[in-house]
Amino acid sequence: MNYFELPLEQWTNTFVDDWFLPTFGNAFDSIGAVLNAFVDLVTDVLLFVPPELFTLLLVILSWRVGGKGLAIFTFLGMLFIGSVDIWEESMHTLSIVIVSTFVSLLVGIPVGILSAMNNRVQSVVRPTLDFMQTLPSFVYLIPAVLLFGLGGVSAVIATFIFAAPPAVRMTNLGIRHVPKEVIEASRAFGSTSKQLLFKVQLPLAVPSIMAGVNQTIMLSLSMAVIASMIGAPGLGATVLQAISRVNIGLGLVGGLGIVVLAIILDRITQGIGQGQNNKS
Amino acid sequence: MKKLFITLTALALVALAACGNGEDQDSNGDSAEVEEKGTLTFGVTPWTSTVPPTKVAKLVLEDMGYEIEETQADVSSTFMGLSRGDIDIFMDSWMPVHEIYFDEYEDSVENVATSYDNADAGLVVPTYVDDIETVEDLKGNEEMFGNEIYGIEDGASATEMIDDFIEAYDLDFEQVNSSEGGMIAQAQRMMNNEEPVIFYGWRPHTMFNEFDLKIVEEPAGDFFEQSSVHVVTNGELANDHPEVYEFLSNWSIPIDDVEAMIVEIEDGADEEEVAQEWIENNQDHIDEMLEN
Repeated sequence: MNYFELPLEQWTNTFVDDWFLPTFGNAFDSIGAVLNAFVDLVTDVLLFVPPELFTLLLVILSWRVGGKGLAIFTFLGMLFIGSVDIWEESMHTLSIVIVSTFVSLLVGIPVGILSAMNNRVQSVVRPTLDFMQTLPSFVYLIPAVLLFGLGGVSAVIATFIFAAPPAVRMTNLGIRHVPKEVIEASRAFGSTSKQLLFKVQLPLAVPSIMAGVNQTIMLSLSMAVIASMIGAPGLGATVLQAISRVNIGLGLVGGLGIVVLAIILDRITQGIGQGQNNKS
Repeated sequence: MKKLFITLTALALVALAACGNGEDQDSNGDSAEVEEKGTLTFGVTPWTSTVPPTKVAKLVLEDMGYEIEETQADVSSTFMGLSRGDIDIFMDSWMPVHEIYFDEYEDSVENVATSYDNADAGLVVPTYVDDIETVEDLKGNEEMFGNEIYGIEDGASATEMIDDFIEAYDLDFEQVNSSEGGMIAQAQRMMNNEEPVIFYGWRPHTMFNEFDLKIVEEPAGDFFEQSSVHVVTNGELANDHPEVYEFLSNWSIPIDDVEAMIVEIEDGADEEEVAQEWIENNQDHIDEMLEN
């Protein structure tokens, strides 16, 4: 199949080294600085709150959205994280998950709304999302370091690329699935497009959007170990350290920490989504 | 008489199986001949230094009639594979940094030869950082580097060594760990801006070819000693394939040649062609290793 030579490798290298980095290096530095401040702030807050208080707040939240069972699980999970001495690592992971999820939603929900309103936008967005989700993360991991340096910011960017697509897709889906009759009725009562979007379509799409949020959080957590290869602190680093030392026990400790965080966050966001569902 | 019968039956069966396809029989015959010698699996880690010696050894062993497979894995999986026998040979084990794996698998892996024993390792800085020549110069200058030393993975022995080094010399540094690629990318990013940067470097590695780097000398020699690179095999290789074991136990290759090959490969040359060229230029050395 080698009919003509496509020097993609050279083109990319020349493009990145000779043009992209010199031209945009500084711009990315400032984006990086903002994100870095954000990651640091969230991490500082999470580490500043005493574990007992944090657990209490999380247990109350779980109780309200998920009931007694979830509250008990949350308590035991946080007790586990404290007892195997990975509290600090967990908070680092949690802060990267929170920031990545926030950025994913900040970009994802508006893009989802746009692509629900406009088929042409959707025809561009859909393949882009497929591309983001299937491109192996190692491909953009190292370029992220060239742009943003080692640490939390690169981890957030890499996680964003992997975790943002469900936020876009589920927002799009939620709005598109609002029944035609409802939209016709709102139009008949004279609502403007803006009113239609914010008072009818978005509220009805909330369960779907929350399912997207849930997926985004889960995907962010699954990037934890990979992100630690570019210097993100947290449970991923514990796992990476354990596997490079063939320390199976420590690997399980770090791994279970990620699982516990994942289950708690999953059930809480699901609970919020269902709560919205019941109301509507 | 009974033996003859079995042989005849077997021949008949082979003839039957091959019936109707003469070409197939031919290729069957060929592979059966190779099958006698068996298949050997090399473990290949994602480091640039692994490829040249692996390819050279592969070509030599293929010449001896072995079928060669390569299994890509990271170092801890490679050692696990060596101990289980999934991997027979690993050409790029670094001492003392891989000692932890030998402790873990001492019964099932064997260190059979030293490839080269003058591999420098240590902290490196770009040559444009004028004031830093030895580790003593680091004291008081930590701020220049943003108080950060970039290292490889958390958990690697080099990582622990650097942490011990920082403590022993009472330096105000924090080690930032990621991975080889992450570390190099970060250093490259800082060198593009001509910022001072200090990170972990080792030979043979193309970083010395791509960037102008110098190793920060440590006259006391307590931490960054020269590494030696070893050939490691599964413990059963000596029994199963004595001639391979014999060849590998005579194995050695100069570090400069390995580095030169790495550079050629990174510049886009075909890995096996580079290895073939080395073999042709060093036929005497190969013959010595084969004891011909």
